[in-house]
Amino acid sequence: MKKIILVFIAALFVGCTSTGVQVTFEDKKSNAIKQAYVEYMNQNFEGDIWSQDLQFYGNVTDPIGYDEAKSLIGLHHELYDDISMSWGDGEEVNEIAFVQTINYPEYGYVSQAWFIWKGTGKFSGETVEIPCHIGYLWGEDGKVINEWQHSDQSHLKAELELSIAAAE
Amino acid sequence: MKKIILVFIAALFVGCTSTGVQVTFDDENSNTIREHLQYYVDGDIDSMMAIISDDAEIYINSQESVSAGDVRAIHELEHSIFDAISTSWSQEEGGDDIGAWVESTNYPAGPANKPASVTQVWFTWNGTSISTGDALTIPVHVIYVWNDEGQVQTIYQFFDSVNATAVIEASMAASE
Repeated sequence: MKKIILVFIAALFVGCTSTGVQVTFEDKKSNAIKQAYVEYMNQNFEGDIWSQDLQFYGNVTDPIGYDEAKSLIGLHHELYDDISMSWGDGEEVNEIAFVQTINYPEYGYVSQAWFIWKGTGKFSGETVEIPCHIGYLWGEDGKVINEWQHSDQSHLKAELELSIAAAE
Repeated sequence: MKKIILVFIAALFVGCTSTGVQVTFDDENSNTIREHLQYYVDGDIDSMMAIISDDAEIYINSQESVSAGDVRAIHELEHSIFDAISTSWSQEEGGDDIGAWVESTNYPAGPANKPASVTQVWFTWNGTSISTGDALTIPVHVIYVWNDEGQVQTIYQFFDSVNATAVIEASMAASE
């Protein structure tokens, strides 16, 4: 009987090796991204999760660095009021974003987010909802080292032009 | 001995149940989308659209959808305006270009989503305006949601339209 139990336990360990690439949702990295979004809406950029060596690809193939990226993101609050983020196709529950994290073999941990960004232009008065997707590559020090943004910037460009015209 | 072998096999089945959500890369859906993208690059819009349900909803940077017919017209227009259309993707600068990163996931129901079978792609769209010679490169992300009949029922596209709009408007003006 003892032999049978030992064989059973051994087989469980042999058979339980996770195969395939896993997607997780409530892990530490995914939750760090969601918290970063809360801080973004509160305009709190101190102690953030981004590396000072960040390569930020804002809808382009040539990246900008940390300081320039921070200015670009800060521009949102200069151009828009009532910024919010949401995601959900359910009937009742809306989350701030759908966030997942994948540990890609031979590459590393990538968190990915999808959300609807909403804001009201300070100069146009228009309320706009923009579907957004962002990918984050985590470095070994637990900071984001690459960020890729995919979202339509046409309204932000128009709002920026209005703000420049208003300043003249 | 026979009992031990039977217990071992039973334990393997008990322990082998896949837990968690997995992402796959060389599955049937991912390969179908790779083919779909190649048809687009080749300008074979009929073959490209064959996997899209006739009543599909396509969301292009918007929460308002357009129809499969609208998207067909958009892609045909792109091929009439641009030459040398291609897609590119490499893991790092100077790395191998595989055209597009494609992966598929079967998502269970979550707090804010219904279950969904999804294939996602990331690539840089490249093309050259036939009339102006302007080159255009646009990072793009697309989500394809599959229905139970093996067709794409919903598409979500994410990309910055600013440069594309400028080049297309200039191209159409130059053609007049």
